[in-house]
Amino acid sequence: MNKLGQLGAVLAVGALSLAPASAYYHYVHYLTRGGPYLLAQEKFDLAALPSKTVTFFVTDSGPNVFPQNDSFSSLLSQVRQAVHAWNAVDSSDLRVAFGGLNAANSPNSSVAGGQVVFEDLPPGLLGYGGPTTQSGPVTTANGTFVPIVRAVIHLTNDLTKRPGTGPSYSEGFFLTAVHEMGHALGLQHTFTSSAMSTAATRATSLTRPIDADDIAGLSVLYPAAGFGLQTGVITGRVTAGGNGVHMASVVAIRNGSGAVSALTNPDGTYRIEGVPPGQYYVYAHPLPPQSSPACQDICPPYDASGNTVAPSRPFNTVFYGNTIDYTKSPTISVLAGSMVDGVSFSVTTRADVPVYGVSIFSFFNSNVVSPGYLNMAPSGYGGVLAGGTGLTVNGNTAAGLKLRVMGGAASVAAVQPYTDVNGTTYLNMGISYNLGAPVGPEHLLFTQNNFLYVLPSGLNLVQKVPPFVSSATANPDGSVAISGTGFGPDSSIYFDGLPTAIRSLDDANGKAVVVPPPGASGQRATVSVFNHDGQNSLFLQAGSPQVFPYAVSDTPSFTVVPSALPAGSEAAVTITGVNTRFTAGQTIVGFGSSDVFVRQVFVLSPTQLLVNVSIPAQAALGNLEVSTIAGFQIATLPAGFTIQPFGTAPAAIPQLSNAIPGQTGAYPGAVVTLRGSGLATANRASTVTIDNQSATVLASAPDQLTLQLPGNLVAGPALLRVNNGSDNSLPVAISIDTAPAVIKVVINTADVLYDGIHPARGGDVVRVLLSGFADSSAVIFPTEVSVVAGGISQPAIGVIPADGGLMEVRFVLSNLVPAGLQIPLTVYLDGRSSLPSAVAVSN
Amino acid sequence: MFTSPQGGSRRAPIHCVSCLRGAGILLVLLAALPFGQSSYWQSSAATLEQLSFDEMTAQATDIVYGLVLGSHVAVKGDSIYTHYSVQVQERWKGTVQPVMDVVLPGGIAGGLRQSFAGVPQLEIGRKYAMFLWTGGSGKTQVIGLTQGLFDVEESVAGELIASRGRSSELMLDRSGKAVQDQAVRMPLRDMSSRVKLAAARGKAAQ
Repeated sequence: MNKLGQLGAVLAVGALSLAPASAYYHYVHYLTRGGPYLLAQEKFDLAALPSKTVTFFVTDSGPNVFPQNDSFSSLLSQVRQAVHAWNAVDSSDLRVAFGGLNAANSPNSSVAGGQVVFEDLPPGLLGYGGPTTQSGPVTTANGTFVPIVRAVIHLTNDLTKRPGTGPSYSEGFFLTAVHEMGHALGLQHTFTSSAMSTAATRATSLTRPIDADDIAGLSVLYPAAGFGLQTGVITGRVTAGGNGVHMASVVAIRNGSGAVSALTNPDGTYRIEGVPPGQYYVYAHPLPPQSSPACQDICPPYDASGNTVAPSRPFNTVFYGNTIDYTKSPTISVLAGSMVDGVSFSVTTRADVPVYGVSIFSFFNSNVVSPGYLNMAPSGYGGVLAGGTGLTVNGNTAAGLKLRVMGGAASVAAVQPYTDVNGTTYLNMGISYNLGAPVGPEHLLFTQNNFLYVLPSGLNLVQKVPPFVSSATANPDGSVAISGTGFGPDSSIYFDGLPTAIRSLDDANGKAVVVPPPGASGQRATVSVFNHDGQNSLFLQAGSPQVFPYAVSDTPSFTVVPSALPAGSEAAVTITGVNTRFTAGQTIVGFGSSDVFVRQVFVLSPTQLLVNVSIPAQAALGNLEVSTIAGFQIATLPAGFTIQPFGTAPAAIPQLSNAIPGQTGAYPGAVVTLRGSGLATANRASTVTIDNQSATVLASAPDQLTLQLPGNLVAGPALLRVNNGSDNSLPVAISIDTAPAVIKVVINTADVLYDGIHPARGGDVVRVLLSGFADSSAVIFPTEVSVVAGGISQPAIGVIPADGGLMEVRFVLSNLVPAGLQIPLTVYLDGRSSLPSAVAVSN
Repeated sequence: MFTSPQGGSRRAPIHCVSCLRGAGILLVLLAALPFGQSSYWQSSAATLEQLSFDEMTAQATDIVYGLVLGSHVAVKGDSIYTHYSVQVQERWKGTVQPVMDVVLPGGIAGGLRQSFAGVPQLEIGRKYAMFLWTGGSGKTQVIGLTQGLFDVEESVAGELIASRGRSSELMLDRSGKAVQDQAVRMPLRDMSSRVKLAAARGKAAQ
């Protein structure tokens, strides 16, 4: 059938802004009393965040009680990794950082941020979290929204409490940190088994901590440039008897992949954004029952009067086409940058939701894991347990209940009730796999009479057993030999919550040599292996994981110079450690408050750091705790840093941008721009020094200088100072890049140099030979390289070493490149440009 | 093995299923295993541990039937708390204190709103049965958020009925499994009797 014809037009991206806003699963305040619904979401104000970054801190007291082999260092590593998971969403403009520790009595910061606290929670309560917002919407240049000013995650201070509080090294603790952080960033629960689903149905893992729905949810709140061009949009309406259904969850799902969803507005309209291109089934389902109009699974939206708007009555779940049989539902083709409109549903209301909250469990030795994992390798059959509301009645399978696996990879061969010794009944599901079934998530369908419940990613099909770690032995050089089984070429090896650097991996024989992160004194780190299929060694070893004992070492400490800075500063701070093991890429520095933003940390040695900090003019004055976390090694300096009253010195933001269009890098001799405040004053010349060498100031304004860097600077960190003719700035650390690559020749495949007589033509395979591009032994993937000729970007098709230490980049010349004798040509490696050259092009 | 929501036995029986329609021959051998050793660590906006009535009674420091007189909001660090003054009508457990300060997370203070999914709100002028706990911080809080809070209303027959709805927050049993909460409804005098009985059993067991 002609699906698009039924759906209506595929609309251009330009039309997106005309559509009513989606309720999605954010925290929503409606601004209008009727459709089209305009809304304000609760979110951080990017314009008020330094470098659009929200920083999370952990209260330095930590939990009081830990399970065996667990530690505060381990817990912090998980928080750090959770931060990393959200920060890695490129389609979101919000950046997320971990700021280390702070004291409970820290002054309230003027900048929005996040906080993890530990407290004595009453029995029956294990943790809670959510955003703190201004009480109403504000309108700025970035639109109308309700600003999140603080986000607090409350955890129990006793991690031995069962259930659900520890140990912190477990994958579950990490996923919880990711989940709670999602709430803090403005995301509510979803029902797609993504990170923001409640743990009953969540199907994410350490190797895939967030899923398509989480990425879409965050990106809709904080869209980065180009977000809408890489993904598509589905819109429509859910009605019952012609009336809009409020807070129906509409889900776009495809076989073998994650789902993306949105909730409907009060008039039943919805809009799913951030859908990766592909063929989708779309279904609408009711929320699980809510016992009160207050915040439950989903905090309902506020109307224009500030009152909550309750969900509509439950209804029967249907796929698009108003069928409960997905095979009869038209699929929706989603294209990047396009919108599919008119995917609407007519549903039948009902009194209750008979099936919901289903968990799938599988079994590994003495451990239970959810979601289910089924190894297809040994037999073609497997079994899992399903538990949840509505699956069983009085110890039997609920009457009329049918189970099905979506797609053709697997099927439910048998179902039997299983009642445990305590009288709880589950469904024991026998699953058979079809020949050639792919590895990955499978979606489950439960139907009871006319009601359909869809559990996205309830099952994971895998092709081998989980990994197992049998030993972890220290080598004399500081590396650690790991042995075990079930390793793969895609294995990651973790010590507690931090990944190791893998020096060698012989997965066939279960052997690896890794460089562990710096450890805390006497720390007993749990060693675990994670495979890309989602399985990890704690599946088999949850009760007795392999532990690596770090040596007992002296207590680390450090000093900070300067130990005080005025509000409104940009400055470099030197941290000098004793017994510290600062390591590049592993070291976090925090100043205990979102008012001190750490721009960059340069690791100069295991005992010395150079840290760029930025303090806003309105920063709260007072003493702050400074913390360094190198791997697992924690050092703190209570009241080690003071914010003083606002200063008037020039402030240079330590980020140099190449001022030549198309060029990148701040290398010796480069022309760059430097931004800041008070950099120039009227009728006085500004001067700039870098490592005590004068830079040439080419142009000056109070907020920007254009400089030519000294030609004999050495690549690496350097201290930059500005004098605006009357005042000196504080020194800041900048990074001097290596000299850019140089294009030596541009030739064709017959080794003929392109010139006016032999110009390049569209479709030619062009060969560019460069010096200083990369080490000749480096492996460079073509995807890392692009070529811009005449303003047209073209991907490389090959990067190979050439004679004389040169590298050769090949690309196919686009027909769009304009003709000319001197068409500018630049080659980019991971965004870093070569010096420009020129090539002759003819049409 | 599986344990009941209330915990219970930790015997480890082996459970076996044999079945396959037509084709054969699948023996799915599922050992019943302890969720207590699971890596199945859970959360939501709030994460609750399911407590039985007896467990709530045993762990509560105060159990009262009381009238909410008023409320105020206090800020502690990054957190906003709403304090409710509760005039004790009946005390079934705990110290003699005519008015209690009961604290719940969240509230509106200084132009800021802090709300957490799963946290109940008390209405001034209404009466509740409350299972309360005072920890080291000195704050008196409701056990398990909504689990320890019961509306009290008079039935048509003139009897006081204590009830609470089903919590939709993630609730775990002691072994770590996600479980569904159940709504509770009982005469207030029955609740009082059960509390006193449970307290007596607890004392006898000591």
